[in-house]
This record gives sequence, structure tokens and C-alpha cells, in this order.
Amino acid sequence: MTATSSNQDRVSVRTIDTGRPPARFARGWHCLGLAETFRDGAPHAVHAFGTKLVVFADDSGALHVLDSYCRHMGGDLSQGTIKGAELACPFHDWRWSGAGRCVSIPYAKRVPPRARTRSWTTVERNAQLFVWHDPQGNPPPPELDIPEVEGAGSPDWSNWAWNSVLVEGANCREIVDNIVDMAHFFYVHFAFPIYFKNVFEGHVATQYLHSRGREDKGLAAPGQTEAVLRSEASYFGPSYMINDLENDFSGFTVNTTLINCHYPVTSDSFVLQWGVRVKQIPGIDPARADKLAGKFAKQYGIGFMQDVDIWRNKSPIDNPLLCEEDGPVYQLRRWYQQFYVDVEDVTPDMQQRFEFEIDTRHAIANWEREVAENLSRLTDNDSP
Amino acid sequence: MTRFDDTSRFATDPDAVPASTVADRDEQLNAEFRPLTCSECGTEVRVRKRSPQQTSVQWQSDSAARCPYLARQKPTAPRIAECSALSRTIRAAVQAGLIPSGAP
Repeated sequence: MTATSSNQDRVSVRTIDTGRPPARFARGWHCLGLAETFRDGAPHAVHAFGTKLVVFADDSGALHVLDSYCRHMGGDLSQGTIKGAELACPFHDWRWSGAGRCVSIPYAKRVPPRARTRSWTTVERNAQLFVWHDPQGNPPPPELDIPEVEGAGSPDWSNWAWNSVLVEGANCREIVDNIVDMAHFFYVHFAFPIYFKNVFEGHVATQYLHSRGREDKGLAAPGQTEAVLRSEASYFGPSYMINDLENDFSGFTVNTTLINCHYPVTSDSFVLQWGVRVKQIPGIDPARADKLAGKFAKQYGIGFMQDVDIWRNKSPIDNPLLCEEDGPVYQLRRWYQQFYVDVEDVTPDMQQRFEFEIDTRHAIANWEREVAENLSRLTDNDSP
Repeated sequence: MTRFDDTSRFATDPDAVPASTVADRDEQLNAEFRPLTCSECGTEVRVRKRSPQQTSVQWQSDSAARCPYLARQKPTAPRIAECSALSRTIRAAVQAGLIPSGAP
């Protein structure tokens, strides 16, 4: 008893500064999912940015996003019906255009002049629907456009295999932290990082990663020391990551694109989405690429669930205690902060280029030892 | 959400960042960086090395405005990983002892 407390006196105990969740939602483009899924003839409710939105396709197929609550008596438009170019409220049939104007009220002589609701700016890119969120109400600047993925829409690539999950009990900044987190790839995802670098600049944050799998987890061939995965992943704005991956599989290379994106629901919940497409392999049936994309999406899904388990149980922490082999968490958060302040309050240091390459030598040596020990233990247990 | 720290600070100023966190940020963002001028284009950066392999480079201006190589970056493309002229400058500065290479 006495011994314990005197130990604690000598080295002061570090406390966690949990900070507070951001008081607002990020400014930027947010992906709501595959555009096609919203073109089934019905309105779709989307809980996002602390409110409820409705997505609907008009009779020309164009997608629109409105506040879901009708400005008449608060009816829920996502429970309504698409009638031609308008969305009709289920409560009193008020008809709302995609631009947010009530264009007719079938039982009324005239529409009140103030019958306007919020229409959200949208764009379709990479076969996905995006909505622009800005607490200040400014239009999206063109330099923040979501980039088109290489060969978008071309037959050289499979379709997207798309999945999503609602993560509760965590702010979405938790997933953004991952872009600088080399070591969690080993412990949470059973990958074996070899090379790791980050570059932040402007509204883009990039991670370069070379890795292989952990042999003790059955994810690598015996004795493999070369990287089999080369990955370049960039957040374009606060929530949309395009990850180009090159995977070596016994003699041939598979190129995939992983989209990792999210939108906030409340300050402690978000919808995490991921999509995978695979580049066609010459000589292989194109239908196989769709299947492969589905298989990869399932595997990435397992990976994201491993992250979700961590987030659901961890504490928010504003003062991470870092070792030299950790990535630049503080610089990443400084970059991320630009999306949470008014555009006039973005400071140069949030956007100035910052590069950070991790020294992976100690990690590699220690992890190789750990993997070897685990393997020999497995072999011992297997022997009769 | 569980809070493990001293919550009394919220009673006075809910937005106050604890002094210890301010100090941690300052250390991570600023400590031990050395100024360096690229021998090729004259861009001024700040460099910190924590080991011979680990390097942090903090640019002081809009890189595209100063570095002819990075000026090629498109805003809608992944960042270019490095400017090789700057990397050469850093290596030379380490060799010359102008930038400590960090513990091996």
C-alpha cells in the first residue's frame, strides 16, 4: 500500500485531457452513398449533421437533398411520395421541388410566399452522391471538388461494392486519426507495416504505406519480407478518402480503389461507409472482378469492425502521449481543425505542407521477433 | 461520455485548454525544428529529425508558390511525397552537422 503510493509520488501520473467533442460539424463535401441506391422511386431518410435529411430522385433522375421536415406542419418528407419533379409530404401533400420551393398545395388557392425549405448542394462523382455542409452557408469553392477516381465509369474497373455501418459512442474524428496511426495496423488489423509516411497540405491529407501481412495470423506466406501491399490514401477534405492499393498475389498484381468515407450523425455517432472496386485483370472474366470487389469489401469490413470495437470503448483524448514511432497526431489534428472553424479563421499552419516519415526499423525488428515467437508457440501447440 | 480528467475546469471556462495540453501541442508542433533553405529553389522549411530515418518537414509557406517541383501538384490529387532537391538539401545539412540526426 505505502510502496504503491510512494511510487506514484515520484513520477507524476499523467491524466487524459478528453477535451470536448467539436461544437459543430465539419465544413466540406460528405458522401452519402452510391447514387444509384437513391434512384428506386422512393425518398430516403438520412440522419446527418444533427438533423434529418431526405434524398429523392425527380422524374428526370436528378438527385436532390432537402431538410426532411416539411415547413408546413413538420411532416416527415422521407415518408412521403415522389410525384413527378416534386416530393409530396405525407401529412398534407405539399409539393416540394428539389430547389427547396413549395410549388403547389393541391387543396389551396395559392402557396404562401415564404414556403421555402433548405435545399442542400449536391454533386455526383465516382457514382456516389455528395452533399456540401457548411455551417456558414457558403457555396463549395471549386478547389475543394471531390476528384474523380482514375478510369471512373470505364469498363477497366469493376462496379463499387459498397457497405456502411452506424458507429455510436464516438465522434468521427476517431477515424480520421487512423491516417497517422502506423502501429494500429499491426495490433488491430494484423498487417505488418514496413514504410509509413504522411503529407498534409491544403485540404488534403495523404498516407503512404507499404506493408505485408502477419504470418502468425495466417495473413502472409512463410518467410515473406517484401511488402505485398502498396497503399496511397488521401483525405480530400474532412471525410472522403480515396485509397489506391496495389496488392501482390502469388505472381500477379491486383489494383483496387478503396473509398473510406463518413458523415456525422450527431457529435458522438457517425455513419462509416466503404466501397471497393477492382481493376480488370486481362484475360480474366469481368464478372470475376465484381466478385473480387465484393470479397475485398467484406475483408475491409472486418477491418473497419476491428476499428469500431476500439472506438466504442476508448476515451476521447486531446493530449495523446506519443513515442517516436508514432505518426504525427498533433499535426494531423491541426490540419483537421481547418474544417471546424469559420473559413476566415483558418490559419496558415493548418494548411501549410507538413511531411513526416516514420523510422520503422525498431518496429520491424521487434515485430519480426514477436511474430516468430507466436509462430513457434503455435507449432509447439500443434505437435502431439 | 466518461471523463477521466479534472472536470472542475469546465465550471469556470468550458473551452479552456489545460496548460499541459498546450505544452504538449507546442512540443509536438514546434520543439527542435531547425530552419533550412532548399539549395535548389530557396524555399525555407523547418526540419526535425528524431533518428537518422525519421524526418519531419514543416513548410513555412504555400509549397506550390515556392517549390517548382511541388508546384505541379493538382489540388485534387494526392500530395507528392517529397521534393528530391529538398531531400538532398536535408541530407547535406545533416552531414554538415547543421541538423542533428537524432539518436540512432
